[in-house]
Amino acid sequence: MMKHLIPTLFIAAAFFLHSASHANAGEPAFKPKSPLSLTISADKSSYSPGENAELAIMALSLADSDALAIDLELSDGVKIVSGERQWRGQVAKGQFVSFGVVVGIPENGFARVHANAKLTDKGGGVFSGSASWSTGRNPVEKSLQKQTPRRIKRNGKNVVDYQVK
Amino acid sequence: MKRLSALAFVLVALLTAGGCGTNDSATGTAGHIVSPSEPFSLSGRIRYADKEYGMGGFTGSTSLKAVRFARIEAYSVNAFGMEQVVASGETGADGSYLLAIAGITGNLRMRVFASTGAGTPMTINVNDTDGNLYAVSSSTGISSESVATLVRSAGDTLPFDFDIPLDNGADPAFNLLDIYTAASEFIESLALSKPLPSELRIFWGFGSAKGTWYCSDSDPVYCPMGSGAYILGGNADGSGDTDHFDDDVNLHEFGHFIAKTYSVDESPGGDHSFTETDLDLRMAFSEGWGDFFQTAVKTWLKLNRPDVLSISDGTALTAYIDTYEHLAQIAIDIGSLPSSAAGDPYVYSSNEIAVANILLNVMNSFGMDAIWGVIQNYFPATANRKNLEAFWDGILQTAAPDQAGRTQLETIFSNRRVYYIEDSYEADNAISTDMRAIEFSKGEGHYLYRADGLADKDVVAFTAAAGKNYTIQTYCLKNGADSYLALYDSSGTVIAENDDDASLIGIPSGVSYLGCSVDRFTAYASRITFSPAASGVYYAEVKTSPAPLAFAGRYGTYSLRVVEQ
Ligand SMILES: [Zn+2]
Repeated sequence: MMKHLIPTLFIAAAFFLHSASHANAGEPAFKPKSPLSLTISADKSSYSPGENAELAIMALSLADSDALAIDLELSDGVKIVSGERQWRGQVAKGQFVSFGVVVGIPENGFARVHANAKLTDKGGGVFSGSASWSTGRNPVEKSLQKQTPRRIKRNGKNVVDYQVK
Repeated sequence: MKRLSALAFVLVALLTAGGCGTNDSATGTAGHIVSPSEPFSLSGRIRYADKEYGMGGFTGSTSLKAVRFARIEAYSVNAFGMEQVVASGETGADGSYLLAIAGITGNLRMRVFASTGAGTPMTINVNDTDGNLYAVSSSTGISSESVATLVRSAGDTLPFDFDIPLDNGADPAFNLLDIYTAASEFIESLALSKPLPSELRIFWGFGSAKGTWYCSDSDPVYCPMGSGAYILGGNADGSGDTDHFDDDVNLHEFGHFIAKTYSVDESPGGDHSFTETDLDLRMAFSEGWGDFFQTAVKTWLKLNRPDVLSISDGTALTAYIDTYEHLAQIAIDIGSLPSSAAGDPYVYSSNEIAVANILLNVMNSFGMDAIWGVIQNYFPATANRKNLEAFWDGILQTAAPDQAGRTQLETIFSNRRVYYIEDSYEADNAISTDMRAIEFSKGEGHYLYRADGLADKDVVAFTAAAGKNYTIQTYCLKNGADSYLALYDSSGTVIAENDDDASLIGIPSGVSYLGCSVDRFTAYASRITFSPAASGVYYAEVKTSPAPLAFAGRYGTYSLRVVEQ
């Protein structure tokens, strides 16, 4: 079933052709970006209850660090079949850290894996990144109560008025 | 008998009052209903809920803070749900207000706009992403019954406090209002060459997930509502990256607004991060200014408006913190970078945090006025590109330091490995017969800088043998160096020149080349290979490229070597 993906860990030099910083026409200066980015990818787009999902967690760091920590949070009922739910180690600027994990989908069909990565660089900066993957429909999802404002006008200007409940 | 009839009316109003109808204009009046109430005053304070943050992100602690200098109105809602504005004004520095009301015809309510009035240096308007101004209304306000009971005689003051809770959809707009207002107060404390613009517009809303930036002009993609600060409000469900309680991020954006207004900001824009050590020098300065600016505002607030600060106890005023959901995605104390640690990325004039740290230390030693003098007066006047080099030239003018002061400045810059000092090989500006000979294969570190302000040239001699091959090259270009190499024979005649070493183009970033990681500046190194026809003394001269790139500098640091094969 999972012949092709054995949970592994590897660090690969990215040697990205940058520059990471560049501007396209019309772009304003964006706010400072975290040098740590994270992705989770899965072997399939949907799963049945009881099935296993093979996930690859990948972090790209644009900072040197002796202390990169990646932790996975699993939603209720999700079990790790193989692999680790955390990774600790060093990372060099421009390198990828990647590891795999296989999780079992619970009976209600809903699984979510949230990855948090955090590092302290050699200049004292602390950066984090996160990524989420989910499958199925969250049975306990609470939709954010969106308040609808009243619309009024003052001095020719449109105003959205949010009444205190 | 005025009082009695008032009470009678109020009771009728209470009995018949329905839900609050949507009234699309402020012109809705009570029509045939005549106010029977006595004049009275309404007084109280308005607060919004703010989130505290520290190096780890939000601490979970929230507090109520004054809605300062905001435009307010009191209005009555009559029996038909129609509104009538009965008084307007603005809150004071502590969120308090006092409104004189001639009389009301129904329930009394308060409304506060995310818009500042005359009490502030400039109007800040916080709008949703469609350009609608945010406002919050009190829920029930004061029932007309209470008014009738409490207003015993004309001129009585009725207390009415009003808090905006964290779960109100417009609450974050009031943190934005507060923080941008605080920034404008800081700017007003400086010696300004012209008044602040009359208005700064902020565009924010839940679901505004595009990004955070300041626009000085319109752009159909990034600045659809025109000039102003566009602030992240996360995904529509409240997840993702929001900046409405990230004061440091907002103060950084205000810094950009100020640079555009009072100075010259030549940043090309786009993406950037703190750990990049090879930014366009103009961007590194522009962003470093923003990173510094937020610490300057907070330092000023600590002394003048401490209540505005939202940082937890023990969090440095010099920290820059940007949250993502409840955690910090960026947390760095610009004021206490470990000095010269191996692998420390916060070095060079091409790194924004290095620039911010330098500005901060210059402020601590020479005062904000000295920095402001450079930003406001020197930058618009100089033809040079607006980067840390121009700041250095400017601070020598505006602060006019004595020798001890200059040494202090040099130390501040050198601590971030920015060297606007003469290197140890000076004076080596012109070919002479007693020129120092460079040792073959040994790299020498040079600074393209002359204390007298003239363009530096670094010249070395070497004795070459006919028939052998020699490579002369610059490498490890830092601090925006863009070198130009010339080779002279013993008579002083140019026999070869090179601006950029074409062999370095296309090497991916991060690869190590001669001990330095390849970056944006690597390919602007210079290299000459030659095989002399005659043995003798030759001279290699390095200077800044006569056609330097816009992202590079006039100064800079580099290594030089001559290799004999
Ligand atoms: Zn910026």
